[in-house]
Amino acid sequence: MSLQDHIESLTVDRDEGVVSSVDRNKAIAIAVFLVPGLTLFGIFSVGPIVYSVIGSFFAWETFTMEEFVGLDNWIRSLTDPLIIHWSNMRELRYPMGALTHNLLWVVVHVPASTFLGLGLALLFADLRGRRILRSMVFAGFTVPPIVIGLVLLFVYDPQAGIFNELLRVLGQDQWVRNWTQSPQVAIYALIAGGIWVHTGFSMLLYSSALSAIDPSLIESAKVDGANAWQRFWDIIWPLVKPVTAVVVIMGIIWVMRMFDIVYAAGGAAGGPNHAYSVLGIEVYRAAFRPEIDYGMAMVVALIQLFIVAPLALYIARMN
Amino acid sequence: MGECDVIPHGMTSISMENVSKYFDGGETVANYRLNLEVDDGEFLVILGPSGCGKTTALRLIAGLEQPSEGTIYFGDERVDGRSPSDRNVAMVFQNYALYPHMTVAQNIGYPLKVRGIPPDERDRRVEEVTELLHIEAQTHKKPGSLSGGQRQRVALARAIIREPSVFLLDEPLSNLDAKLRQEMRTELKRLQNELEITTVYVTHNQEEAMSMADTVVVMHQGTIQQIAPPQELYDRPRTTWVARFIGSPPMNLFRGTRRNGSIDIGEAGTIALDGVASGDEAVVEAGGGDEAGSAGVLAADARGEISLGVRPEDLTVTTTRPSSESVIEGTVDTVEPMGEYVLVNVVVNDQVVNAKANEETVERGDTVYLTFDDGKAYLYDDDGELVA
Amino acid sequence: MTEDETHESATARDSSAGARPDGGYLSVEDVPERAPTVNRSWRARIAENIPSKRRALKYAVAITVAVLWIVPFLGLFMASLRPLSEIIGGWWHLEGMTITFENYYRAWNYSTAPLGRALLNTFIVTIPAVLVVMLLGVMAAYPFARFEFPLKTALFFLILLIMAAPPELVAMGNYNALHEIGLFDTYMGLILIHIGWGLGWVVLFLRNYLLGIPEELEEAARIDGASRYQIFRTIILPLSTPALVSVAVIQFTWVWNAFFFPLVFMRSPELYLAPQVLPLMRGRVQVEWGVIAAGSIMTMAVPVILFVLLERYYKRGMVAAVAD
Repeated sequence: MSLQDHIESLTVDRDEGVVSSVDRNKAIAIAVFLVPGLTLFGIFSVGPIVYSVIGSFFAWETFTMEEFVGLDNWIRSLTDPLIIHWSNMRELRYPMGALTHNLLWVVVHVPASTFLGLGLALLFADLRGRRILRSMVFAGFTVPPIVIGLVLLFVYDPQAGIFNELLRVLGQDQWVRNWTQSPQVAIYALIAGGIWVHTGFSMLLYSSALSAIDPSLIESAKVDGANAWQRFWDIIWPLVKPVTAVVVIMGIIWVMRMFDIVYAAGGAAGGPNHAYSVLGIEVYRAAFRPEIDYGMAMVVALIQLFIVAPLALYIARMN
Repeated sequence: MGECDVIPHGMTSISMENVSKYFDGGETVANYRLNLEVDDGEFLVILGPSGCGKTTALRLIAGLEQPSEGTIYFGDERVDGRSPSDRNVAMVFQNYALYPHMTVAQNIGYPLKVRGIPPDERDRRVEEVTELLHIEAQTHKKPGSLSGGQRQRVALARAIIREPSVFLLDEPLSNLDAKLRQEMRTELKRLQNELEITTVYVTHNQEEAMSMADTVVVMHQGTIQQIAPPQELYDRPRTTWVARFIGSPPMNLFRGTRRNGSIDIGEAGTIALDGVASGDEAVVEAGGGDEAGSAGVLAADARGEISLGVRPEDLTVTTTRPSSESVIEGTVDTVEPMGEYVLVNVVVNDQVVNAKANEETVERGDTVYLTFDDGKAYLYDDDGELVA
Repeated sequence: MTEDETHESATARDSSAGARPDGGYLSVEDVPERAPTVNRSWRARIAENIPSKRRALKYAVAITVAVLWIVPFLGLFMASLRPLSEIIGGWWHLEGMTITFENYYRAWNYSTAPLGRALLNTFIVTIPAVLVVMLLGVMAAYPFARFEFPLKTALFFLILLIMAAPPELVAMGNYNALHEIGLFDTYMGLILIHIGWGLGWVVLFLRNYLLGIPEELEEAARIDGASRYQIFRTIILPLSTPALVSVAVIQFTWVWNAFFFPLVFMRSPELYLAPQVLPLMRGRVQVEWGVIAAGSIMTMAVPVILFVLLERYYKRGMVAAVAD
């Protein structure tokens, strides 16, 4: 009995000794793998975001944090006509404020590029040479966005631009103008450009979803006598529907981050009299162009995050 | 040199003492209080249906899992808590786990490489084992271009090259077709005999277990049901569960009530118990001394629910009532010619009983009489445990 | 061995089939190697290969759409090769076309910030930013895919959140931080910012990929005696090569194309990156379309060529990065 106890106490001691040697090695390995990456990620991504969250409640003397001012920056930014221009909105006149412009992008650009993407994916799905066709549509997405902005300037130029030439050929001369510099229409011209670039991305996502469909399902539907339209609605659409959520959310994130194209077309002001400024442009101007207003820059950048954060988490939850 | 090099130097016995493994913080019990001894050079097969915990048991021995409770020894050395690399075990996985980016030679040489064995020594030993397993021609190919049987051999070669003290195989033949499986079975057995490595082999296939094992461990729901040599497992299944699990078609079990020296199985008949009991005494003697008293207990216990087990191959089907006392009456349901034998399905008390016959002498609807040799019948008590 | 067997059994069956004069069974040798040629005219064969009218229409629509899609880039390319007067008259007029490399020359030596220098700067920033992100990314992704450690879920969600965040959000803090450590307006400063910013998606992307590598392989390696570091180096790294190529292509494109970060963190003209230089070329009075176009073509050539060469990895990576 006492011997038994003795042995038991021994085994308990050894238990902890040996088990933890495996665990310790594992813990060290985890740390070795994680620490370098997470350190840089922490310093240059997490840290600055936390800094912005804190800084948004403080007064700033150019780049130096001063005293705590509570919600002052928030109130000042949200009532700034550069962010939301209520009176112009009532009159449907641009500029309506950067936030409004961003939301307009979401409302027009996202559905359009989603539908076009699905349409092109379906159109190319079973053609020979579809890889090349898709690459032609997708290529714009690999081009620097700043180049896209400059291309749009060029396309919409009153003399050199092919868009105005098209209008002239169609006999619509009254519409010929410098589209990117006309405050009341410029934003739509840019959104059209955005759709042009971003559709390739939506198409790519839909294409991969389409190619993942088991061909025997389509064949079975054919055998069952479904016509092309029924095959789309009953088989294809339900199967690619989950991708639509991803396409839409990626579209919203892309649009909310809009900066380069607008900067190329309208400079740091976001077009004549800020006609198509977006939140990113306002952050940049508030932070790095005189009069420097770090507090406002931080608030506006956080607004951008607030709009997309729930979407990102929604994607995460989907998996 | 040569063959000698691949024979392991330190052979090892394995012992598991009260080993339990829980997952999900105790929600899942994979193994419960396993006690297991594997002798030096023994070929032990763990047999059980899927989900019975046999693979977890193997992974505990390998060191891929650590036991939640209990201890594991290799020889005199305690190994639980040690990582696999400190145990000198080799393992063949169900899907072979060949490294897809390495050639066959690199795959086989990998265990030596990570141990820092110089390339020329490595090459020499790779050559040896590839010859031993007849895969010399494949050494420069990638696993992706090999057939199933060849992959199997590469996995084996990788396992034996470093002269492990324990050799573990997790359903290694389940991905092969029937013909190849037969071939590899023989090969594996030959290899094990030649190398004399302590081997633990996990399978759900009883044919593999019976044909290869020195000892079979039957597992069910995380715990061990029986440990026995193959023939004993077949001859003396310890529980009704093992009895139904071993043998195909499974053993027939007749539920009945014990009544003064005989078993009443309803309208189908009555079986004289003394015959069964006396027949069993012989088996009991062979089985071991401590169980010898149970036959006496049986005779003394006059009443109670009981199951009588008879294997299909031990049932004789006749159309005329035999003179013997112990006869079971039933009606033929279906007759299935299997080539080697004819399987007759007989309905006895609403229960289908399988019997193997040599010829197709009966047909559906016939009233038939089933008899059996007393020595080949088994009695199980209410808990499903072998009585005699 | 097995071949011999099948052959034997085949001949055995042949003889038995041959024993049946009625030809009830065909012998194996009667089966031709390839389909017997049916006598069809070349006319009929061509007709079979011509798509139906409906399908032809579909091809026409698809090709038209795809070509229209790249018309703006065609215009850009044409403009880069022609003198300003011809561009203003419309690049689509092909008669009397003069081809000149003057625009490329002027863009390359652009006075404020020569694009030649800017392209070199872009390489100097992009290459280390990509290589370091790949290495640190796959290292950090490995524990995320395989091990449990404290705060794992919280970290995971943090990374996701930051992936959705706009780059503007980190600009202010990093601006002050780089000033603090003296790395403002240096290559190193911008490289570090790109690494910190890219790590999030790279870790998530590689984690998803590593989850698809069978754990059995690592277990086999552990049994074979490899340490965790050996497993990482000899099993995980080689097996994640396709994903690492995707990461390289996509991260290269993003860093190369990035405009906002250089705009904020690179202030000396001799350190300007190529995307930064392009908007400066607009000029004051008359927009210098030729120079802008030539500069744009040179700047976009690098990611576009990369995309064409590694299209498969790029597309697969894009889909996996967002869909998983």
